[in-house]
Amino acid sequence: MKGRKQDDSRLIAKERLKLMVDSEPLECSETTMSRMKQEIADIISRYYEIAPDNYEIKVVLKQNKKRA
Amino acid sequence: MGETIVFTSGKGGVGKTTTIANIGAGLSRLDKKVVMLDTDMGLRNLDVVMGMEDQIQYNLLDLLDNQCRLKQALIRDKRYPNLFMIPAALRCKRIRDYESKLYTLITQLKQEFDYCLIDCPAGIDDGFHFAISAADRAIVVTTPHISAVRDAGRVLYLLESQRLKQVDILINEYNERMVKKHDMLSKSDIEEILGTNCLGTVPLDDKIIVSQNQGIPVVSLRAKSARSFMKIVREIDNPKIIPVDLNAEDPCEKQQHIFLGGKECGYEG
Ligand SMILES: Nc1ncnc2c1ncn2[C@@H]1O[C@H](COP(=O)(O)OP(=O)(O)OP(=O)(O)O)[C@@H](O)[C@H]1O
Ligand SMILES: [Mg+2]
Repeated sequence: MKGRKQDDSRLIAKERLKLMVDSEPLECSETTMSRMKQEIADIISRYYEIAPDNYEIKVVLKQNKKRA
Repeated sequence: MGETIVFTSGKGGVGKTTTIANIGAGLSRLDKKVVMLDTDMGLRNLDVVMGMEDQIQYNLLDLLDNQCRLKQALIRDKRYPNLFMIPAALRCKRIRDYESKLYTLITQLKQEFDYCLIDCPAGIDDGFHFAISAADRAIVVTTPHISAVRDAGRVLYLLESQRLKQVDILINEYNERMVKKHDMLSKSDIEEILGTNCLGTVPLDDKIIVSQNQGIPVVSLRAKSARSFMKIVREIDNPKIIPVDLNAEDPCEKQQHIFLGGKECGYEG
């Protein structure tokens, strides 16, 4: 094998695991999440004239486990 | 004074029981006196893997309940000089109530044995907490599969509050060929992700299945996995030889990490 391909499954697994092992999902209520998304949508509409159907907002909250 | 090592994993079926059977047999080949405790209550396996299933009269719970004496619960391996096993019970109610009794038993066993190896159930429930409660040291068994590594990370996190003097990982079902093709996480990838030293890797090996069919540890046979297990056994028994991974960026830095890791927890060995 010559140089590493960008899509080596090994590297993809490694990146995914680094996120999973060092952090865990932060609990967030349904209403907080939808209010947060609405505020982000408002910001987007300030900069772009774009219909809500044409973009998607995904918020992933992680907290560090602070492993020693 | 002996050392108690718990073998744990989080994810099931990654090879804890296989590992303990072979490391137990391997240590006894180095003239160490070894006792293996099966704490996987309800689903005992270690006796089967060791081919001892028809010698069971009493089990760990009987012993903790004072229903029998230590000598009666210890099953001696006929093939290895100083290898003993205490089987799991087939019931497991309120297992955490037994933690102090387990501690007392292990303190007693450490007077007599060089190594006390504990087979832990899969998962992170009561059985896991019971199994790790009296350990000095832990070996987290994983495979290079993404879900197993993630669960190993979870277990390592839970072990941190346990104040063990040493925690290492062991990678089972390692496939050198896939690693070379970048199709599988490598040993150093997993060490980096989990921030923990790896004692060694064991390849996927048909001989393990064949040997377990016969109820004998694979270290008794000529097999590639037998050689890997014996290498790990020497690593466990001789902590002065610090593993140096030639693939790692800076082996010196890694050695230091292991040393400091041990020192932090007050490891005198
Ligand atoms: N390196 C290997 N090569 C081939 N087969 C293996 C290897 N390691 C384990 N196995 C097989 O995989 C199966 C599961 O192994 P084992 O029982 O040791 O896992 P475990 O972690 O103890 O499982 P559990 O979580 O159920 O206690 C067994 O049938 C065993 O023979
Ligand atoms: Mg098992």
